[in-house]
Amino acid sequence: MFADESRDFLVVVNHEEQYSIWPADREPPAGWRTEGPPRPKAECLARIDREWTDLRPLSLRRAMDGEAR
Amino acid sequence: MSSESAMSSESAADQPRPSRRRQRRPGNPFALAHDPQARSHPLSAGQQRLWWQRQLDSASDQYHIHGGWRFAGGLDPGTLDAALAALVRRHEILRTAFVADADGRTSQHVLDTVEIPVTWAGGDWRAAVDRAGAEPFDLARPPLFRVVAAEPDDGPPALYLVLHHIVTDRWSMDLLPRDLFEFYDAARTGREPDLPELAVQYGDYAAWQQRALTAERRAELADWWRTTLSGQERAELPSDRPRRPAPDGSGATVAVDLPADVTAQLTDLAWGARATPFIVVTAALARLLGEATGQGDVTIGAIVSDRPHGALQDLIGFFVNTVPVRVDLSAPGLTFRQALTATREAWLAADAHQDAPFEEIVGALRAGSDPGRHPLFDVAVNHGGDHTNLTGRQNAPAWWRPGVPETARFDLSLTTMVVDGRLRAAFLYRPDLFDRGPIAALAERYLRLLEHAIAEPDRPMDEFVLVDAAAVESQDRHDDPIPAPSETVVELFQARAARHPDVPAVVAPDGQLTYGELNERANRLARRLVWLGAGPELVVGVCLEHSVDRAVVLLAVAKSGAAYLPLDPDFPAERLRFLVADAEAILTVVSPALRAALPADLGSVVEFGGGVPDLSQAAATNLAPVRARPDNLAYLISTSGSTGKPKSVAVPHRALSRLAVGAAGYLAVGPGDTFLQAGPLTFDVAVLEWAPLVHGGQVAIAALGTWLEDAADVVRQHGVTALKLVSPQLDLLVERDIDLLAGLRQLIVGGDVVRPGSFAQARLRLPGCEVLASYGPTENTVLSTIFAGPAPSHRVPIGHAVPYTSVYVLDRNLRPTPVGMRGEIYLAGAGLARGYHGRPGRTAQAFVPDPYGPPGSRMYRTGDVGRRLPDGEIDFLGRADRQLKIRGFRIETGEVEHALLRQPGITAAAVTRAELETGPCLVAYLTTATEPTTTTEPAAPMDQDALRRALRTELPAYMVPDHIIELPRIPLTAHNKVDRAALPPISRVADRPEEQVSTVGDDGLVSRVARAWSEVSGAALTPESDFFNSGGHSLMVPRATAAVRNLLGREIPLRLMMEHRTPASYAAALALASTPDLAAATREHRLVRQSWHSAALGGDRRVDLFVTPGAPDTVVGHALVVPDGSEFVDIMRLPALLDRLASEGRIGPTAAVFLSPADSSARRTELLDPGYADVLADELLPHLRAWLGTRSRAERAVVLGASLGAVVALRAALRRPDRFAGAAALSGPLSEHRLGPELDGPEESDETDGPLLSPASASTRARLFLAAGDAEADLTLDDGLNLLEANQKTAVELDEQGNTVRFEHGAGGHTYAAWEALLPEALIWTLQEGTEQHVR
Repeated sequence: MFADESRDFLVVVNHEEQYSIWPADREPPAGWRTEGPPRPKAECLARIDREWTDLRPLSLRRAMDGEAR
Repeated sequence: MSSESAMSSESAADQPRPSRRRQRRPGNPFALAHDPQARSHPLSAGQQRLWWQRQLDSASDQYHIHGGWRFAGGLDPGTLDAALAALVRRHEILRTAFVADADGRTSQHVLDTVEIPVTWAGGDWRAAVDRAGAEPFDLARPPLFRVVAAEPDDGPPALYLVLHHIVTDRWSMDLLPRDLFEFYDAARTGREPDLPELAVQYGDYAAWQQRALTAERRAELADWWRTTLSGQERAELPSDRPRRPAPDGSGATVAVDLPADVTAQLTDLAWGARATPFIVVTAALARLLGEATGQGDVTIGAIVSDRPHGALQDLIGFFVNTVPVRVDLSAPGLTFRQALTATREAWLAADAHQDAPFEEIVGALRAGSDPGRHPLFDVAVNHGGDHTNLTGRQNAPAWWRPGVPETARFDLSLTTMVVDGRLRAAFLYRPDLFDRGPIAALAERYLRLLEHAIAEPDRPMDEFVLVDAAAVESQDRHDDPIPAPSETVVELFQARAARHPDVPAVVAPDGQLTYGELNERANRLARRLVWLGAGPELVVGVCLEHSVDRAVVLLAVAKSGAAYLPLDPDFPAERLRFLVADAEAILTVVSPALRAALPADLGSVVEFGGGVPDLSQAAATNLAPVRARPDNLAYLISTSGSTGKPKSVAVPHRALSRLAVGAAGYLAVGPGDTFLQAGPLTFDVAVLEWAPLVHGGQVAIAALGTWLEDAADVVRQHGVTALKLVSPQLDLLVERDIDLLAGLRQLIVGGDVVRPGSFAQARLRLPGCEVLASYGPTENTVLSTIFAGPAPSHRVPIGHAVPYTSVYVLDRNLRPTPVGMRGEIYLAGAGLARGYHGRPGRTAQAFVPDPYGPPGSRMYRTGDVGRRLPDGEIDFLGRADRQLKIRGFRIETGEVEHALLRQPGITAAAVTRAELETGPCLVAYLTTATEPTTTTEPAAPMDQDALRRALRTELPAYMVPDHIIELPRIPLTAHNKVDRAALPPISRVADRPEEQVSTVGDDGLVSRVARAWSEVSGAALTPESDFFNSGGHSLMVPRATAAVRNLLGREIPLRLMMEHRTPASYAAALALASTPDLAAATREHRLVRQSWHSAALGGDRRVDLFVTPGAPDTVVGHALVVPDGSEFVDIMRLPALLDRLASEGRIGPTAAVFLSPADSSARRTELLDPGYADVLADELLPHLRAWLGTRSRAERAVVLGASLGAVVALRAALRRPDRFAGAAALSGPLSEHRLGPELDGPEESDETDGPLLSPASASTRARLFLAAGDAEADLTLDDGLNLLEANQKTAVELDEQGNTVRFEHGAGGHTYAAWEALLPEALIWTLQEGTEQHVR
């Protein structure tokens, strides 16, 4: 399914602000929200490359930031 | 036919499918009528198929049809004989013989009478019944019908009948007892039998069917099938055992029943959709197969009864058709009603074209022909619900089923029938391929699918929940719902060190450290690293040798809060620079001895090891608080991208803790254990060294040597109790001497494919040692599954999930696959890596939302294919991207590679797919042992034919590589994986000019086979063309074989073509098969094959030396020189003939020398070289004399040749009378070439090669035997003469010049068989007076 280059995908994000993709014709599993409209896989991945600049989970980022403050 | 079949299947796939306009099956335009005169008929299309199957496997009983009936009123022998005689009189098919003529064409002959043998077995009927069922029939000798009369204990006497399928079918097995019982009853009561008249007989039907199948109609049908089936992929169920070349034919059945009310609804649904119950069961089967195999487009074989005329209803005979039905259910969201419609349309279209003979469909698709496998599909369906019980009259015999072994003709076939109002679905499978468990699971799923489909035909089938709760539970049995520990390895280790500071923690060649010492040293270094800037989310490169300091460094980096990135000093400098830069490593810690191996410009580098630097001033206490949180990175491991740059997997402490803590559940890493892993630090397996350190065990750090030569010493020295290897290392140890590892308590073998033989050997030879197999990608922290034997014989499963881990096997809709069915392996749980360092897109693509885990959790797509076994363990089936499809077959390259590696001498192998002009093919690259082995022979080039023969005994034909290429070494990536991109393309290797087969006389056996096959297949075959991929199909095999048989004049088994599918391989096999005749001569050293060097020809040639039997001092008075010798030795077996003639006293003691050309492409040039006669005279003949030694008395020799060799023979005799007394020239294209000097024109170049001789003088008068066959009048030579005329004319000319000439012509053509027939006379005549007498 994920290897299928012909179908459209959604950019999805979870509570830790981890990004992933999900087939556009299916409901994403619980705990994932979509970002933007369905689009070809390559476009989804390009967008993720742009937006997900910090791979640390959100909770870790917050904890480390809190420490730094 | 030929031009269409030359169209490649690829291009056909691009064509649009034919319009969906409904087509009907056209009626047969001819009248079906009985021909009382005809005793001979063609075979029907179906019979041809069965006849062929029988030729292929003469020992097989797969096509026997059985039936048993009880005779309530008792059985009387006389009455039964009368009834059987009447039955045979009524049905001509029961007294029909099936024969093939000399050209391989088949026909059926009706005999006047045939007696049916009856075995009166009484109470001991079991053996008789089994024998009747198992014994093969000879199709040429009717009856194909046997009867056992039995007296079972549990009821009235019974008859058991066994018939060959070629004369009967299921319907007939209802007619047969009806007719037989009626005859029996009539004979018993003395009345006239009352049976419907038979207007026609089976032979009439066969002739009628064949008459309508004109060449035009066949081509049209073949076209339709080609278009319809092109590009189809086999729906192949994963098997429990590897497919063997020849299936044993045994079968077993799992049957499930649909409740009566659902069965009634099924019928309603069928009629409502303008379909039949057959369509419903087929649609559900197509869906099931799609789910099981992961492809929506499947082809199923429908087995249907086909009696397309009213007059055929009461005939016994074979009226069954096997029709491929291709159903595409791959559209997403399809409802069952839509599937039903699609299946109905597919069936109706197939039905309209079912007149195509099945083998022609196969041929049109170039589906090849694998004797062990059905050519188009592996799964068949047969709805038996519509046959009538014709024995329902009073006193009718009742069924008797004595329970005979089942036979399976397909991998899996579904037979449905309605029994007592319930639909019974019987799945007949091949137990040599499948276990019962997966088939039972499949059958259950089929039932559930039908129930859902019938209940909700308009709901998308994807929404059906077909896995019941119990199955889901068993899937998750090994998955651990408890969250992983949140302490990092630093905290866990420090706790151990505090409690047991004096317990040994690490041992290495340079010493041993206790937990306390290790902790203190690490604390000191950690402080130094922190001072240098190390901290959470920062990366420290490490490049370390095998010493206790390695453990110190890794622990220190963790304590500093940073993540370590292992670097291999053997990596190329550029790769090292890239890794360090890509990870943004702040510094690299290196062992002093390895400093020089690193590039100078690697950024900040700190040496550590052997007490340098002196950190004794730094505090040795734990750093507090612990600097790394569970979600901070613990390490990075770079993995090779198969393309482009490496990427680093970033693993957090939480995942490392999950591994280290969970390991206690399956690894022996506790107090008293010493663990050693044999990989470098750059392999993630090294991460396992944390496990003993958090459980109180000891880590051994040591190099085992590239070839594990030090393994036994290391294990003994360090007291290793648990050893982790990867599978190639285990193979190596098993091969060498795994007993050296005695004393181990645990052996863990990693790598997805563990060789079952090695695994079993390890278990056997290491008593008291637990042997485990493990699997896991770096992305899920080293280990994901673990398997503790014993393993099945053919495959070691990867096992079940390790703690804190979930493993899913999902189909392409991300739903769990049924037990036993293929799916992709996904991993989830606490072991997941954070992702690929600095690569968000790659990370997002590989780590995807997990629909089965907690909300918002992720799972990792492994790209590996596997399946769950009934006991919950997981079977690894290969990489998704390493499974090839060639000609519709799914090929796991690893399986082929393993088979290659099992062959002696092969040291490495890589198998891949290549595209050639002739289509896709399988290519094997391999390396062979270069070191001298135990034999003294130098390394010879590999014998590819022998290798292929060996592979054929292990692999199905479609898995035997088409091309085998030897390389000095297989290119590897930095991670020791095969670099497939760097393998030389096959096109370059295969790119060699095809042999030109031109003029009449220029044929070696290979090109003659190629030409014979080309005529039959209608396509031009080269020596390397696979017959079955070049327009040939199996029904052409008898004709193609007959063509070669006529050439050779001896019997050739039809099977040979299945095993040797190219002319080159076939010719080689023929030559090999003929040698037994010559074995005696070879044993007695009277026939010796040598590699002989000719100075004039340049290079080595094959030479065979031979002498007829006799005492060691027997004078040998005759000598024979045979250019083009291999054909005379291997094919016409001339030495054997000379033996016979000598033993019969028809020739005197004779020696012969046979010279073969270097290779077939150079043959023509070489034979026609003007100097060739001198080679024979001045080099070859002396060689023969030298071999004979003092026995040699022949002053002059006789030269013998056929075809182009005949030209050579005459030239030698005419040009070198000093050496040659005569010649035998068979079928030479004589007028095309200059022979003796007398016949030459003045300008000829070869005139200068020898002295001009005047017309034959007495001393030079040659004795010349010329012969040609009448059939050779058809062969026209360059000068316009035909070959027969040319010989006649030359004979006259030679005679006029004073030679003694004899000219023979008669029946025969340009064939080995014709020449072989002429040889005795030619030899006797030329040898008799050709040598001794002339000289004296």
